[in-house]
Amino acid sequence: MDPRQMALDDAADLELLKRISDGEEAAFVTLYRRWQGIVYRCALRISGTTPIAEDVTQEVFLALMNGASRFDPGRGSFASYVHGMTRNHVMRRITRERIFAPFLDDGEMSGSDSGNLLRRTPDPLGDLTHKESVESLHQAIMTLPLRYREVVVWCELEELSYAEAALVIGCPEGTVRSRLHRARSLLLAKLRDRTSEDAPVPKIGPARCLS
Amino acid sequence: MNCTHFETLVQDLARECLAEETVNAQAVEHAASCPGCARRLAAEKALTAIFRHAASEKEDAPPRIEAALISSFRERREGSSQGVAWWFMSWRPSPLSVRVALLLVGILLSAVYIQVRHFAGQTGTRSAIQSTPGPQAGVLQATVKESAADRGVSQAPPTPTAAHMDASPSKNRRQPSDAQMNAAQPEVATDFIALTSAAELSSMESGQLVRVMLPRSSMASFGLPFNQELREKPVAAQVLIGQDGVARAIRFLQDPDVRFVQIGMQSKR
Repeated sequence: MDPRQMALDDAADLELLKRISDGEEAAFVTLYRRWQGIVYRCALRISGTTPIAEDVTQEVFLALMNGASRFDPGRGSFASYVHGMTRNHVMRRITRERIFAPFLDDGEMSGSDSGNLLRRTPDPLGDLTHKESVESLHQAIMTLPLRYREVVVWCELEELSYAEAALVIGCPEGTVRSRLHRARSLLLAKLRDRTSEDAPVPKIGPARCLS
Repeated sequence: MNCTHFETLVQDLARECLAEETVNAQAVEHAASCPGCARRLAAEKALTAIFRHAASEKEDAPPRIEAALISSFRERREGSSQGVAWWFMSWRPSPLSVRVALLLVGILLSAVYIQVRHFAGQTGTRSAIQSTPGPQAGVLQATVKESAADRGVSQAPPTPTAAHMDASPSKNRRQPSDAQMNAAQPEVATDFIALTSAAELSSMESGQLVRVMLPRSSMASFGLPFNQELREKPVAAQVLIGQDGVARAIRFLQDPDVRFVQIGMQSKR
């Protein structure tokens, strides 16, 4: 996102927060409509369940309503603040309700899997229509371990930079990058498996690279 | 650039976020010359395209959440004008805070109970001394400093053993240990017996109670009966000593062991 635009948005949000703490309902409605989609979508994509997403949305905005004056612009942008709050609420709910996606072994997506992927088809996702592929993508994301899933949500679906995602998750930037790399590899393998279930994949010889 | 290096860059290349243009160009050049890496890049780009498509999908929270939040906002605004009362009504304690609050209340009640017992013990001892009948009652109304060991002393009933006759244990009840019984039951004592003249006693302003062990036969010298079977066993007594160090009065305390023998209960000792 354009930094200037971000700064303008931050200033607008800050002004809204000030008016909310003064008890102005219209300011709260404006702020809600600006951010509810992002909060709800992130909560839904990470948790995978609508009730949790709805609860988290409500909790985040209740927290903003009650602690409008707590936001400190010196510590980061309002976007990071909202993303961080959303993430914390979702994680708390997931931990409480023990809704975990099945964990995969670290060795599941080994180098040989990547090789298979490369050997299969030049465009393993090309057979899917956009709608189907997005649906398949969401299903595949939900099967990822939580630490990979949230990185995909922040970096790919919310299009945050590595630095922003690292701030939200609370880990180094390099960790975000490596988790995303692994998550993408896992997703590619899963999507490839889905397409290969319907149609047999023609055998392609092993890739060779001498350069 | 080789395939290993390309693999480290393919993610950022597909996401179009490689910062350095030269590295970007080298990676593209490598993909053009390597079919495997070209397929890898194509797959990553396809995935990125699906991600972008998914990211462009907007999904909103149900309208009822907005309605509920606005309602909460109005309640809060109205409530804030009511001040503390609203805060109490809207406060939803977490289970942990409830547990902590209960624990604190428990500690507070225990502390109050201990204080009350301590105070009652002191008052009881003082009143026992003050209310002891006898010719030296006037003297005993004087302030008496007690040692810590004497704090359990309480009012002396006229017939010490009779007070404990009611304490017959039920078979169905758990029998308390001797120590527990000793701690729970007040000591039984005789009245104070003057050791000096009335004039000296009346001039006494304060004194100190000292616990001593005396031969049981000494009870006879004060005209008190004693169990001949236990004459070898010493008897506990409290001596009231004045500021000048002279003993002014004495009273005998009943030995718990003796009491058990007298009321026919079996002692564990």
